[in-house]
Amino acid sequence: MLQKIEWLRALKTKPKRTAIVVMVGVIAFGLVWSVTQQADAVRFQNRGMYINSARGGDTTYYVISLQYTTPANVGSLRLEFCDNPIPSLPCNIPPGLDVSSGTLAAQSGETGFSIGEQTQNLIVLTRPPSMTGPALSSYRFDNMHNPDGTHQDFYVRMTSHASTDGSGPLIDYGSVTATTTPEIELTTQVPPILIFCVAQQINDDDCTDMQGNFVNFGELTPNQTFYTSSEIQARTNAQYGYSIAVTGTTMTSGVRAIPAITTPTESFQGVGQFGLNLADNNSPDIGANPTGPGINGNVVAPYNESNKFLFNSGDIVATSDNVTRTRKYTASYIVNVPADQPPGVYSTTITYTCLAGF
Amino acid sequence: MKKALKTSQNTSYIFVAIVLLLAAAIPAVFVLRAAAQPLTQRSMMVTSSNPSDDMTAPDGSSYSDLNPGDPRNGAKVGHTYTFTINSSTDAKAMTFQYCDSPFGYKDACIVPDGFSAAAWDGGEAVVEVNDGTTTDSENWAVTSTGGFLTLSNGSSTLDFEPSYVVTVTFTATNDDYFVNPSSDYLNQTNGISSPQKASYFAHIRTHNTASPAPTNDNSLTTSTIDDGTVASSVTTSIGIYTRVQETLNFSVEGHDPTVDPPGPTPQNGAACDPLTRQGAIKMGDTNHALSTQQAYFGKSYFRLSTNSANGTAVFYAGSTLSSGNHDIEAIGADDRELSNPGNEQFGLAFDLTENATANVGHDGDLIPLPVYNNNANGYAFDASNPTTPKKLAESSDTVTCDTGSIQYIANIAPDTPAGIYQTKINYIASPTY
Repeated sequence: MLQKIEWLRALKTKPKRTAIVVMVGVIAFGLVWSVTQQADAVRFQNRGMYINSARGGDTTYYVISLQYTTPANVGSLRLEFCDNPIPSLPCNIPPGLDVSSGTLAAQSGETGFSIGEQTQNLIVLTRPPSMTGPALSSYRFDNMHNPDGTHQDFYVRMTSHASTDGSGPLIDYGSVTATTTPEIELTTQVPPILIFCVAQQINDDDCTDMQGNFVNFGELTPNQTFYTSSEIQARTNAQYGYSIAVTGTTMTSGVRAIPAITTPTESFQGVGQFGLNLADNNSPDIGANPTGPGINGNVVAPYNESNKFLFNSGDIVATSDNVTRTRKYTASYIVNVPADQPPGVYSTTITYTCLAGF
Repeated sequence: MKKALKTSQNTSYIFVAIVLLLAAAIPAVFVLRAAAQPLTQRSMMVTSSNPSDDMTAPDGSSYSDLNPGDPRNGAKVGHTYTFTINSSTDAKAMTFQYCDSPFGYKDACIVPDGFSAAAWDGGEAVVEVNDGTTTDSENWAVTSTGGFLTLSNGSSTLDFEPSYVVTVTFTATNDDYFVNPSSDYLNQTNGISSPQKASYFAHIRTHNTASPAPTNDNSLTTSTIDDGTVASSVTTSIGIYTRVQETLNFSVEGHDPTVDPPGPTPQNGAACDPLTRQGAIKMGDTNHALSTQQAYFGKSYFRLSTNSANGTAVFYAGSTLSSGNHDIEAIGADDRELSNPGNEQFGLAFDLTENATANVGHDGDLIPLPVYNNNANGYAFDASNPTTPKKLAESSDTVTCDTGSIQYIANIAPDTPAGIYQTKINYIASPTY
C-alpha cells in the first residue's frame, strides 16, 4: 500500500511532467516529419520542363520530363497548364498560353502515348495501361504557344492515372514551372567608312602617312618620254563598293596645251602626248599593279592596260563592287612633246574622287 | 485414549511448528518488500505514439514502407527508459511489464489491445548506468513473454547505487520492435476515467537475480530490488498537409551605362527581387557606333532563384549581330577569344569584376560553363542554330539567389558592312524538380 501511494505521488512529480513534455515533443516531431516527407511517396521524381524559347507569345516546343515514382499500370498522363501549381486552387489559364495545337513529337522512357484529349490548357496523354518503370521519361510537344508577357510564370500540374482518360485516382503527381522573360536586345551600328587618299607615296593603310603631291618633270625634250607616278589608296565598308574617277585637264601653258591621249595608246617620243594608266608598265618602266588585301578593288579598262596610256577627264579608273579592304593603286603619267611644242611652263592638276555606295 | 492423546499432542506440535515457521518466514517476506524502493525520475520515450494499425498519410494515402522508429510508424516502435536508482543492491536483471492500467490499480496486468513486445524475444537492449561522471554501457539479452520483457546479462551485474541514472534503450529495427496498441485502444477507458484514456503503462523492476520469474501479476516478487511505473499513450496524429510549390524566379535586364546606375536593379538583396529594367542594350560610342580601332561592350544581368533540387540550367539563344544579310562574325563556343579590335567578333562572357553585385562565378550556386566563365579570359558565342538554346551555366541543386553579369563584346573589321546591327538574346532557365 505504501508503494502504491508513493507511485501515485510520483505521477504528480516533475519526472512525469518531463516525460509528458518529451512525448509531446516526439509527437510534434512526428507531425513535422510527416509533413515534409509524406508527399514523396507519390510525387513524380526528376520533374522538369524545358522550353525552347522563353519569349512571351512565341510558338515553340516544350520537353516535359519525369520519373514515375510508383510502379503501377498507367494508362494516362494528365498535363494541365495553370497559373499556379496547387491542385486545390482554381486553374487559371496563363494569359496567351495555348497548347491546343500542340503535338506529341517525341517520347522516351514510358512510351506508347498519344494525345487523347486537348484543350487550350490541357493535354491528356493516353495509352493502353502498362506497368511503369524507374527510367526517366520525356515527352516533347511541338507547336506550344507561350503565355504572353515578358514575365509570366506558368505551371504544369501533372498526374498519372490507371485510366486512359486522366480520370480516377491519381498514382503519381507533381508540378513543373517555366517563365517567360524579356529578350536582351542589342543594337549598334557599323558606321559608313571610306578611307581614301592620294599622294606620291602612301605608307600606311589608314592614309595617315603620306608624302608629296607635286611633280616637276623638268625641261621637256622631243626625244625623251617624261613620266612619273602617284599612289591612290581606298578602303570602304560600303556594301556596294566604290568608284574612283579622275578629273582635270591635260598639261597647259596659257592657251597652249600638250594633247591628251583619248584612246589607249603607247608612248611615242616626239609626239605630243599626255596620259596615264594604273598598270605595271615596262615602256616606260613605271607603275605597278594594285596591291593590298582589298581584292574587290580593280582597275577599270582601259586604264589597266600595260604600256598604254590615255586621259579623259571624268573617267572611272578603278572600282569595287563590295566592301573592300585597303587597295593601293599606282597611277603612271607620261608626257611626250613634239619638236614644235611652244615653249612655256606647262602644268595641270589631276584630281581623284572616290564615291562609295553604302 | 493415551494413544489418542499422544496423537493430538503430535498434531499440536506440528501445528505449532508450522505456525512458528510461518511466523519466522513472514518477517523475511515483509523485509524484502520493505527493502524495495521506488525508481525515481522515471521516463518513457517512444518513437511513435501512433496506433499500430494507423498507416494513413495526411493526404489519405497509406504508408507502405516506413522505417522502424519512424514517428509515423506505430507498428515498429522503439522505447527508451530513464530512471534513477534508490537502492544499493546491484541488479542482475530488469523486467518491463506492459499493462493497460497502472501498477497496483488492478490485481492482474492486462496487456493493452494490439500491444506486443514479442519481437524483442532474442534481441538486445542497451543498458547504461551513469554515476554522475561516467557511464557504463552493456548490451543485455531480452526475452519476451506476452507483455513481459526480461533483460539480463547472465552473471554480469551493474553497480547500482542511489542517484545512479539508468537508461535502457530498445532501438527499433526490422527484427526487434514494439507494436503500439491499436486504434481500438484509443476509446477504451479500462475503468479509468480520463486522462488515462488510451494510456498504457510499463512497470519497471530491477532484480537481484538473472532469471526473475515472469509474471503477469501486478505483485512484486522476492527478487525485486526497486520498481516504478511509467506511462505512455497512443493517439491519432494530427494530419497537417501542405506543400512547397515549385518555384522559379527568373528575370533578365539590359544595362545602359549612359542612363543606368552601375550594377543590376535592384541590387541582389535578401528577398531576391526580380530585375526590373528593360532588356535594351546599345553598344558603341556616343553614336552607338562600333569601330575598327577599339572594342565596345554591352552588359545585361539575369537573376535566378529556384527550389529545384535536381538542378537548373540557364541557356541563351539567339544569333549574332546582323544587319540585313550581313553578320558580325560570332566567336563560336569551341574556344573563347580575347577582344581583338579590327576583327569581327561577337561574344559574351560572365563579368567577374562585378563581384559586389553579381555572384555567378564567385559564390553562386550556378556554375558557368568554362568557355563563358570569365570575360578576362575571353568571350564566346555559339551562333549555330540560333533557335536552339545553348547552355550558359548550371547547378546541380537548388539556387538560392544568383545574379549573373553578362558582358557582350562587338568588334568590327574594316570591311564589315555599314549598317544598323541588332540581335536579340533570349535567356531560358530550365529547372528539374
